[in-house]
Amino acid sequence: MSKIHIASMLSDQELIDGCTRGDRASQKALYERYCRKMLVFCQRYAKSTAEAEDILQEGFIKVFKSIHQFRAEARLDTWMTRIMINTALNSQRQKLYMLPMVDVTELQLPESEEISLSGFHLAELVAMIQSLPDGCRIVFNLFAIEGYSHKEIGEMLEISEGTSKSQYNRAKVLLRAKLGAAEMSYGKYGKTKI
Amino acid sequence: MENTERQKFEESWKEAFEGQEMDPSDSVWNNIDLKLDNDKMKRRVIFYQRLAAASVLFALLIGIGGTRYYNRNQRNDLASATKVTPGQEQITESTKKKEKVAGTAKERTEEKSENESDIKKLNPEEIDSETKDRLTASSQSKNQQESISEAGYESRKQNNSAQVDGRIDQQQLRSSKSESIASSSKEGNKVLTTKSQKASSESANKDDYTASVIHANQIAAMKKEETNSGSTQTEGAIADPGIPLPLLQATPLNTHTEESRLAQNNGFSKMSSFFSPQLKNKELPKEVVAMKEEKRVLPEMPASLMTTSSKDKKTKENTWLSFGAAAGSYNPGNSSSSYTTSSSLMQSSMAGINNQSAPQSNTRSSVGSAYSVGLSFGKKVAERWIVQTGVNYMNQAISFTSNYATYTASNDRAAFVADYADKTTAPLSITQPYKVNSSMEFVSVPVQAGYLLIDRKLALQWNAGVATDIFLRNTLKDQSGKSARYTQGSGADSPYRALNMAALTSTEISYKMGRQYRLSLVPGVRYSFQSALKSQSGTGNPLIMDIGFRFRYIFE
Repeated sequence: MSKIHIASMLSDQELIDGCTRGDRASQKALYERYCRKMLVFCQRYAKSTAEAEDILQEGFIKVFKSIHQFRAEARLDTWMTRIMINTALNSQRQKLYMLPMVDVTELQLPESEEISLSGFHLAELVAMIQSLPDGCRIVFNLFAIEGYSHKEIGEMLEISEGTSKSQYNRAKVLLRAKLGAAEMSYGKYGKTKI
Repeated sequence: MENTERQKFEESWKEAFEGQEMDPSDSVWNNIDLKLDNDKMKRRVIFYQRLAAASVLFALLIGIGGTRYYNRNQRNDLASATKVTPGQEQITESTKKKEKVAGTAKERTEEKSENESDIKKLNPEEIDSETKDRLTASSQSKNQQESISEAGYESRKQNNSAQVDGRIDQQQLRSSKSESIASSSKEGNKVLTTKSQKASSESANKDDYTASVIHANQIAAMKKEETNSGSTQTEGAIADPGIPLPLLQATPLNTHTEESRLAQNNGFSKMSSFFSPQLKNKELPKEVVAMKEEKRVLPEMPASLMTTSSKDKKTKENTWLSFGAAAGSYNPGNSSSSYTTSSSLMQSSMAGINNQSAPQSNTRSSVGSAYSVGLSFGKKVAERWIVQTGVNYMNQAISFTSNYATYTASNDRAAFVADYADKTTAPLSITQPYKVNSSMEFVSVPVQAGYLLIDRKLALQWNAGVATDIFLRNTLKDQSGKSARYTQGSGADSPYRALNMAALTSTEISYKMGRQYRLSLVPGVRYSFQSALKSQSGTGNPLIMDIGFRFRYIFE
């Protein structure tokens, strides 16, 4: 039985202890245990899969370097998720500065419409989010999925609350449009019902 | 209503991503693994760099300190040699002072002589009147005696002060003393004479008688005082508590002081030549030489230093053979990886290859490791200069990620890098990224000049020179073991230069063990004038910082 295989059977705390010692087998086991889940987070914030993998890579290096700071009272996956999001935001921050987000008030929200995403593949949903403009994508992720308020998002991204709201509205409009397009397409093939 | 719909919208997306997983590519972990290795290597490199920097700093400090110590010794020696002349001037001045003292004594003696002649000139008729004035004369002579004794005391005092100077001329001192003593005895005799004249007033030839008595008394007094002069002088010296005990030796002490000073010079000269051989043959000023020749004295130095000089021992350390090994960090010096698949190269090499994988931008570790082992021969060409040459085997290893592979004649997959793509006709393919260890082997022939900053048992040496590196081969090894090794030699078709030149510099801290062995610690830097790859001229030069040891066998 290989060392890595043995490490994969260890508990989170044992893996954390191994990573703190710099044990490579423990590091790899921890990576193997959480990399898939973390990649989903990274995919939502990135523009492409390659970029998401870069964020994942950078995030895990940060995890291994700061694993000694992890406290047992927190959940490991939550702590890692926060690191991944911060890494993603840092990687996107330059883009945000280059293309500053502005209020998009002219957009009108469409009429109320019940949506269902259950018929979509994960890759399709990721592709829809990745197709959003940088600002919209980040605000959408933070507000809709991570659950941050617009005020918190404004502080995190150093933008106004209003900007965060307008960016979110824009993201919502764009996503609705994409979902509508997909509905038409999938409806044609009978794959997904929205 | 809108709020509810909005919440539904968010919840829908949140639920859609909950518990979802996606598989990352293998390259993610490979890159993480490589980066963690690099961090570990960087920490090692930082350690080596700090160690090398500390060693060089230590060597510099020792060198500067040694040089300053050497210069200060040299200055002190010259200063002590030139001090002799003003010392002699002092001697002359003090002699003059003594002459002055003697002159004063002489003057006083002359005054007394005048008094004597006055006595001689006395007429017989005046004797009676003198007899009448006996008591008066007696009291006067007592006053004279007191004044004479005062003069003698002053003379002794001055002599003692001359002894404090320690530079008085003995003969002059003696003559001045004798004169003052003679004068005092004359004065004393004069009183006696006056008394005897008064007692023998019947004598007809009083002048002759008086003169003969004075003469006889003078001779007797001189003899007496001469015999007492030494003791008087010594008593005066002892009586004066302000005079240090060693200065109780009067004139002989002065001579001895000069001699001992010469002896000290002699001793210092040897001492200084012990530290700085150049001083050994330095000519002393004429005055010192002249004084030195007058009195031959043994140098005041430890017997251990009078035995075989260290220089004699050092001269034996002329040629040596040493075995050495060194390890350290290797920085290829290229910001753009030589192994990265450039797009143009990829396009050309991908022609005809049906592979959907995009060429990965390979991450190459910024630093690798290097080690060398070899023999060297050294020769001392001047007192502090040496020349060293030898032959070394050198290995420079570095890790990076490649997504290239080729196939051997037996159709086994072999490790491959982009740099070789246009140098082979073997089939290529784009693969999943994998970690490759690349090691370059050289035979290096260094030629270095060295300067001995400290040439002692614990020696410090600074070396600088150039090395000719003959490329042997480069070996690529897939760390996962999935691919076979790939070896690239030198030649016209090789991407590597057959010959390379590098600049070397190092400090060598060594310790001599026994008569024929020396162990050295050698932190050094090697800077190649060009990259080993032909395709990378001018893009950055490899730099090696290492620390090694050398074991030296010294030929007798």
